[in-house]
Amino acid sequence: MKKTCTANINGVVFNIDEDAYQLLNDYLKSVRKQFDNESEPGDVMQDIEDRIAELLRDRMSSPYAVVTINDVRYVISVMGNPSDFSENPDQYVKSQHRKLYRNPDDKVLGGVCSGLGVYFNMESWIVRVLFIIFVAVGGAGGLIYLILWLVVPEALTSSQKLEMQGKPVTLDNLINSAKAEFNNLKDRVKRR
Amino acid sequence: MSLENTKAQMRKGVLEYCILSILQEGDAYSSAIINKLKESELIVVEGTLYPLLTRQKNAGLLSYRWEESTQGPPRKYYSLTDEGREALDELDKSWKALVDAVASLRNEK
Repeated sequence: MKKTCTANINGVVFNIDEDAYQLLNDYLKSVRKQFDNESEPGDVMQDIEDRIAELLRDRMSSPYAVVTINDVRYVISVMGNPSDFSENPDQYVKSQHRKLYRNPDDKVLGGVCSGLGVYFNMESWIVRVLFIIFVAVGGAGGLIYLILWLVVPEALTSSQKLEMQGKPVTLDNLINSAKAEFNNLKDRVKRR
Repeated sequence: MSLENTKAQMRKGVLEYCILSILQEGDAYSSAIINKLKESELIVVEGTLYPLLTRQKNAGLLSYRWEESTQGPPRKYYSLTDEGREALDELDKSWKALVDAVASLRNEK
């Protein structure tokens, strides 16, 4: 038996398993991050959520059916990897030039998984799932996480954040990084 | 890996051109545009489309109106603007020039 919640995806209501909700939420967050530099990220997110709602509605046999994690995985496979969405040349950055930092902008606990995700060019939710698996299987995962939390520094300044992403610390990049953070703050304030 | 990247870049490059082209044949919902692009194997995943559509709309090449639907929330129905039609003509010429250039390069063996 699983716990479910109700989700509002672009105005359409769905009953959704809690783990499915988490996965979808993390996915949407990664997608949203791709549009930090665009002028109207809200528009694109609305279109994407609209399409996701459409895909899920077509898949559900009745309005009372529950969206499961497999349904969300299906939606993600159709919509695609967030790094394919925008025209960022990010994907060409070699990870050799990156420094491992904890990521304060995408943290659940200490930003460890997010930082690892940025370093290895993986989505943070994948790293979190892996950690959960390690913890569930042996428990050593929890210890490793704590050690990383203590040892790895947090990327607080803009130049540290650029180093985390492997981008050269130039004036242009610093300005873009500041713009992206401003947009993030704007959204957070709007949501209240 | 890098060859796949190059191929993906090639496809991405023509996507905006193809979106305008599809809309020239008639107004359409975004889902119809996606299906046509999938049929011609220009996109594999749908996510790439939405930022492009928004960008083209912001550039004035497309416009949309809301169409009510009995099956759910209202949907965006896209159409080409006059600027969009002009852009399409420009892209037609640009595309022809590109194709000719590549063809002649390939023939110089």
